[in-house]
Amino acid sequence: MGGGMLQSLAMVAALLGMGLAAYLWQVEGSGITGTAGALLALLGAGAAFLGAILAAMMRSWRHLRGVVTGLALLAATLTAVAAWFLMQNVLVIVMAVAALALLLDLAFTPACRGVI
Amino acid sequence: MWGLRVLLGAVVGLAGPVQAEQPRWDTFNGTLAATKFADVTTFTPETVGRLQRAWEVRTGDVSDGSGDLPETVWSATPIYANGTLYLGTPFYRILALDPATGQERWSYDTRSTLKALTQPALKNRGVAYWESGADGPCEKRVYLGTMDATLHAVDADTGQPCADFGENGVLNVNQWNETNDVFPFSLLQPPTIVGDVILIGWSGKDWAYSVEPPGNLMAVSARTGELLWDTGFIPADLIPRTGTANIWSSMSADPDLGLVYVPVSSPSPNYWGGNRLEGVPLATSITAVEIATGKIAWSYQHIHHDIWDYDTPSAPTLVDLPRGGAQVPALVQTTKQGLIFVLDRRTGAPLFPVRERPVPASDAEGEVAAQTQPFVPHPPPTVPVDALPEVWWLADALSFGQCSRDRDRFRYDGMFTPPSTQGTLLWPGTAGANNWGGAAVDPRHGILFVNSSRVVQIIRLIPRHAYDGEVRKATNGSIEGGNEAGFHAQEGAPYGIELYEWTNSLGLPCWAPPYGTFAAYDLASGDRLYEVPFGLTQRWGFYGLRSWGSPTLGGPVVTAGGVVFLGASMDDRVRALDAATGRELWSDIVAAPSVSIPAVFSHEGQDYVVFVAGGNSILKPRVADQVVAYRLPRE
Repeated sequence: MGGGMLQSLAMVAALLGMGLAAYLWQVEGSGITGTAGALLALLGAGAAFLGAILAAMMRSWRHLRGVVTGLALLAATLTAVAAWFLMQNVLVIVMAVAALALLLDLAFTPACRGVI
Repeated sequence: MWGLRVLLGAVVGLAGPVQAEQPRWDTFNGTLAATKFADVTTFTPETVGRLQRAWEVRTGDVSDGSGDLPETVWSATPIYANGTLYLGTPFYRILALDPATGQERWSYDTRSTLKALTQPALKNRGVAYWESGADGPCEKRVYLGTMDATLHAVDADTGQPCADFGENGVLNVNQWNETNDVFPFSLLQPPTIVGDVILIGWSGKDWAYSVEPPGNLMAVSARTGELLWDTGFIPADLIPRTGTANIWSSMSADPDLGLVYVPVSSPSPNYWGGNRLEGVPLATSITAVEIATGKIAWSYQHIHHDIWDYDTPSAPTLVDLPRGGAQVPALVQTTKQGLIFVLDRRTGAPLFPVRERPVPASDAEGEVAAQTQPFVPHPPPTVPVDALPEVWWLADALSFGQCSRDRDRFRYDGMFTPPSTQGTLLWPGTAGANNWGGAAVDPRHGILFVNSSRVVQIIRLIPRHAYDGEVRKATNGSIEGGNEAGFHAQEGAPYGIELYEWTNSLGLPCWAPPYGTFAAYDLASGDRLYEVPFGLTQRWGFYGLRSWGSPTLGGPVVTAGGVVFLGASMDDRVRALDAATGRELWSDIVAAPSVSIPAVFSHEGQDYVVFVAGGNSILKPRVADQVVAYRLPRE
């Protein structure tokens, strides 16, 4: 899988995570309706999404791209952990996919390899 | 699991048969025996996983306290009677609903004041039901009490006031509040009705005064509201100096013995008793009162000279138990201090040994704590009472040892350590190991089911001369904001108090989990059959681990099919448990913690379980106005 595809996968997953967190925050019966934890998950997924987009735009700045991808990976991982404590399994899976895509991107994309 | 089932089966055989009851739910605890047992068989461990929401109703009667109205606390048990589901709301309205659809048949508004005159919130625990046996208007009635001490009677079919009750359907109960009347008799708990007699207790204002209305039990005619008798619980010579020992919770009754069993609360002020050193024999007791006359048949005080506000919190559960080859009419009282008292309900004599054990002395000015307190070694307490829970390493580490320092700084010399000026670790906390939900009993098997909380608080006595200054310091100058900050005046006593949970600077509990459990006991032997963590803690949306459990408020219902229904936890879930093991079989998320007792009944050939999700700030700051009914899909 190429770096572009991994970035796209991370972006889609993080975007899905944002939508899901927003839904869980406002819908009644989610168990986390209106809670700070749901907002934090929304923020975390948003940060991962933003990081993935920025990384995609930084093809010519190798090291900076690696740093931004790493930060997005951290955001996605922490959001997945938060989702686990929020007992939102779908959000855990979505953010884990985002994190995995970002990790693979860091590991196998030449532009990032020097960073890790 | 099968081993436990076999054990339970063996226990069933030993316990022998006792009262079986009908699948109706026409009192707060299901029946006057307060067993919370529903004789319905379709809810089994095999079927409850298929439970579906039949309907949901939002009453609109809710406030989170952010506007003009005080916060609501709704703990109503739905009443199923007359083919209708009746509910009281924290805005003091009666709703009559179709049990199959939730559709409103009628509603009645008491137009009570919506001010927190006594308790700090608009509270309601439901309605009471009576029928005369005759046909005609107001031969079936629903009663609702209000914050401002009126009792309303309306026709169960139409919701129209019953003109022959009180004045045009409204009885002013506060007319009998004539002594130390610093607050009204708030009627937040539905009265208990036995035959044609309504038995009325009331709620007051906790921790505010030393001299308060003396607690009493009033009996009035269900038809007219005429006062039949009035029995007080404070000795006459102490009334000028103290008060309360009221009945704020539900009661149980044995019509065959002609007795009502009342859970009497603690005297005032709650955390200092230098004004009542002579003792108040009926306070913090289970007291049996003759329904016909109001005469006290017997009383059992389970805490001497109560200075911990360990009120008797729930109706004792009535069950017949095998003793010496015969069935003995017994009652079982769960308590805030976590001890389970099993008494002969004819005499008040303990059926399991009670030991008087020495307890710590008080160092507060003017206070002389009781030298001994009653302990029940068996059945085992619902929480460990012989030692404070361990300091939780995680909370301790995250606060750089704050919890350990607290443990050394505050006083704890064992259970019943008196409140002190240095601060005393209060274990169990003031909401108790067990509260108004009480226990459920399967009377066929003599098995008791109970949910318990494990919360440690700090109670600190503040000398009167320093009290106002401390409150102002804590509230940035506002003496009015003291209660929200944990301060309470105990006016007339040499000390005010500060009361709060023992947490670290991050808000984590300083004591080790579990925080809540669910347990079953064999009442014939007194043995605990199992104890499991129950529910999930939740903070900012994040859940704790399953092994931690959750503090609980509200009570269980056990069904003939071997299932226990229970809300009560802080995670907004209602659950079905396997009665044989305590294992969770089913759950659903509701709008707020269901801090009430569910109703389980059969209507038009189908079994229902109905939960009220109202919330309570003791668990977490979320309130709601939701009623949810569940049933199995039709075959």
